[in-house]
Amino acid sequence: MNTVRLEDARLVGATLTGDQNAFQELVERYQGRLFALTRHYTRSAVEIEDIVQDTFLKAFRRLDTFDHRSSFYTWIYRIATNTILDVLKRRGRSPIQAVEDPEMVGEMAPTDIPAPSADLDAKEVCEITHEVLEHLPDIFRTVLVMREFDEMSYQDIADTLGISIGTVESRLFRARARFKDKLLSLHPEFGER
Amino acid sequence: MICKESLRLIPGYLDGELSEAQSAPLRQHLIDCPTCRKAASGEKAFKRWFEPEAPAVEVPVGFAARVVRRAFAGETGEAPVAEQEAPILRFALRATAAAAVLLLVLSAWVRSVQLAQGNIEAETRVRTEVIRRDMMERRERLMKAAASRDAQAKPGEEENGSETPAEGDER
Repeated sequence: MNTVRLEDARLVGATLTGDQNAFQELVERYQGRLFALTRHYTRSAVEIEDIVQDTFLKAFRRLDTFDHRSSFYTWIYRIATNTILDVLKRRGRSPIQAVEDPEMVGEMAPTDIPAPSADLDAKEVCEITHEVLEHLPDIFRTVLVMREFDEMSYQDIADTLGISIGTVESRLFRARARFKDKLLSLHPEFGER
Repeated sequence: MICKESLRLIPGYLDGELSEAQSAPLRQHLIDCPTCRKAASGEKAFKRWFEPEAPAVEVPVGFAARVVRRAFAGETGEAPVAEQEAPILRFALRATAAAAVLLLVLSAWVRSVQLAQGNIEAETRVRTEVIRRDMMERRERLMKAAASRDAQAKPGEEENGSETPAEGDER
């Protein structure tokens, strides 16, 4: 077990004995990453804060179920993702399960898109990317955020979402194709240069 | 390696998910095949749309302390019951609206059937009345005709006597 995991394990143990400072340290360790994660799904500062707060409150309530097989971050990331998806569902978005078909892997001809133009600054690129993500079904949006922004391994994505690595691969393949198509339909100016 | 296999492996290769045994032949194929090289280059370009956000997200001051206070006060972070029930409520409202529309359509249909039945009944009543009057008139005409026949027959009867012989006459 590495240092971070050891320290997390100590903080979790102390929190379970009623140590408020230990839990505060855990929150401070991961709050920044969870705020960043949540901002990929909503731009509302109030909603982001509510989601991250609810994530930590749920984690606190279920802390005795954390078995240390995964890292604390992977565990709380899963809670955060589920909390975010619940909020999106309540808002009216619903994951489209039917679009997922592992057999389709390799049969699509994804559109090629060039890298963002040098004229665009990082903030503009970010806004365009999130605008496109907003238009994707949640199952695609989730894997793209996990892989492309958070650089999670296929195994971690599979563990977090409770799906197989093969499904992660096929979902990513289709998510990338859908992202490219949607980017070009929303912003044709970014087509092949 | 064929291009189809190469194109399937490129995303995993760029994600660092392939073993060396898978990566080595793919690298060789990419050197040899300009089409697949272009595809790999396109995938790399795609990743540039996912650069980390700048500036980094700021966590509100005092956030951790607030969360700890709420956690130890017993808050669970679960959605309030009202929010959880929102979809159910939404469904109930939609179902009620649908039922109301259905009821409206049904009542309109029943009313139209009743109206149609009412029209038939009214028409039947009119026809019955016409027939009744017709029959009354016919009866009156027949009675008048019979009366006038009787009136014409009475004087002759006085002259010729009864056509029917009286019992006493046969004897």
